[in-house]
Amino acid sequence: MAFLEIKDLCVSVENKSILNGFSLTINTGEVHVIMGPNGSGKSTLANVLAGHPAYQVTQGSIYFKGKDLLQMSPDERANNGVFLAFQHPTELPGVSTALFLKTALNAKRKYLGEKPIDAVQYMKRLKTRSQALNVTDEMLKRPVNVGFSGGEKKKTETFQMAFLEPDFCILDEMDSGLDVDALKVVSDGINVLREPHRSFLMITHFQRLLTYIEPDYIHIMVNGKIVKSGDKTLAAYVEDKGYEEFK
Amino acid sequence: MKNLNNICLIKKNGHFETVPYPRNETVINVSGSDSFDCICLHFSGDLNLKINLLDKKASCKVHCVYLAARNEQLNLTIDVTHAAPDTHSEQLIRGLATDSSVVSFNGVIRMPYNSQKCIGNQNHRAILLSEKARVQAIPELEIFADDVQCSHGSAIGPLDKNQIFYMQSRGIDKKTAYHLLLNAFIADLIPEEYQVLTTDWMNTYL
Repeated sequence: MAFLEIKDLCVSVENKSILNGFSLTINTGEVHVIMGPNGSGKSTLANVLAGHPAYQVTQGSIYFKGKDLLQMSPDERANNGVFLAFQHPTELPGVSTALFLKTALNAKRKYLGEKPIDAVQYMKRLKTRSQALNVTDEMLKRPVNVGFSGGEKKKTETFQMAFLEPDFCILDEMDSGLDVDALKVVSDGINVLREPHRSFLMITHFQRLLTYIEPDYIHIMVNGKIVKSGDKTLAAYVEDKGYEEFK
Repeated sequence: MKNLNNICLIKKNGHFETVPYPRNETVINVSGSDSFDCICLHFSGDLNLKINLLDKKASCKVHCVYLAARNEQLNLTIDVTHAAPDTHSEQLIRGLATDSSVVSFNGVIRMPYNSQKCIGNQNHRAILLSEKARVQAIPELEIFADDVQCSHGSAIGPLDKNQIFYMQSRGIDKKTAYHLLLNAFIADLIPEEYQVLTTDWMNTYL
């Protein structure tokens, strides 16, 4: 049984077809990268995996750890181990990051039939993960993403991921809008999470993220499907020649 | 569930105390350098407050949270007159409307010729939680003095679906996501011990 198996997926938004027979298999512990020109459907794929209601799946299937992902609500998917680090994280006015994460963690524990986390354990987990990603106590008290800079948003997305410990991490353009130092912090945060039971799907435009995070596979996506797959040398090739020949 | 009654709290000696709810038009005269601070938690019927700031340095703060459900019709009028110079007023109103409830909010700030150096702020925001719920906001600013500060703002709309999706994507179910966001929207206007009432309301009507 594959960790994630996407078969012949067709997706449309407002009757516009975006994914056209997309297939991809990811095994446990692998890091896959999807690159592609603007509008090729990369973010759509990320959103569909997380269960965004605006996207209609018209054909195909997604199986995650043997379960039919398309039958699950977004929160069920998350509680089964899917995590999407958003390209543009949403602001939640009035909801502090600390409360938000506690609610999310306890939702997962409830789903798995476990008791809510006790306050001491929770604080410990929060501290350990936040310090590693330079997320300050002050940021934890602030409402989720409200008034955060682009870099802070990406850091807290990575921090949320580290805190919730999902099995499948989807990273939608985590490198966009980051300076060199922030990119290093975020990449380190991701690398720490690389474990044999965890897989990654990273969407990016640039090779520079891949100097920090070494992928197992790179896929080129054009017009809603994968047109070429290869190892990390493919990224360098694209950086040099562009996407023209794949179109 | 128990009937949710309107609640009015007025600050006396630094503490908020409950007072009988002002049913009919109620005139409040604030004199000296007093401050009239009140919090209203409104579930049904009318609220009509007319506040006159009579002397220099007099001020008022009216915080109101309304929660409208079923076919309730809520009419809220807060009418502040800055009858003396250098007086301050603040109106902060947050509302939730669901089912086929209809809410009308009328916020008035009057600054006559002698009200120089006055400051008046009014902010109203409401979230519509059903297709049929209606909220109407009518801000009225009547300003005759030329050296005053006055602001008003109103925003009415549904909850942002992207916020709900973002929370769901972290494992939080839809209902809990709604409660968290709506609590955050109104919580800073209501003392903690009264927030159980708003939670009751949400559990019943959402």
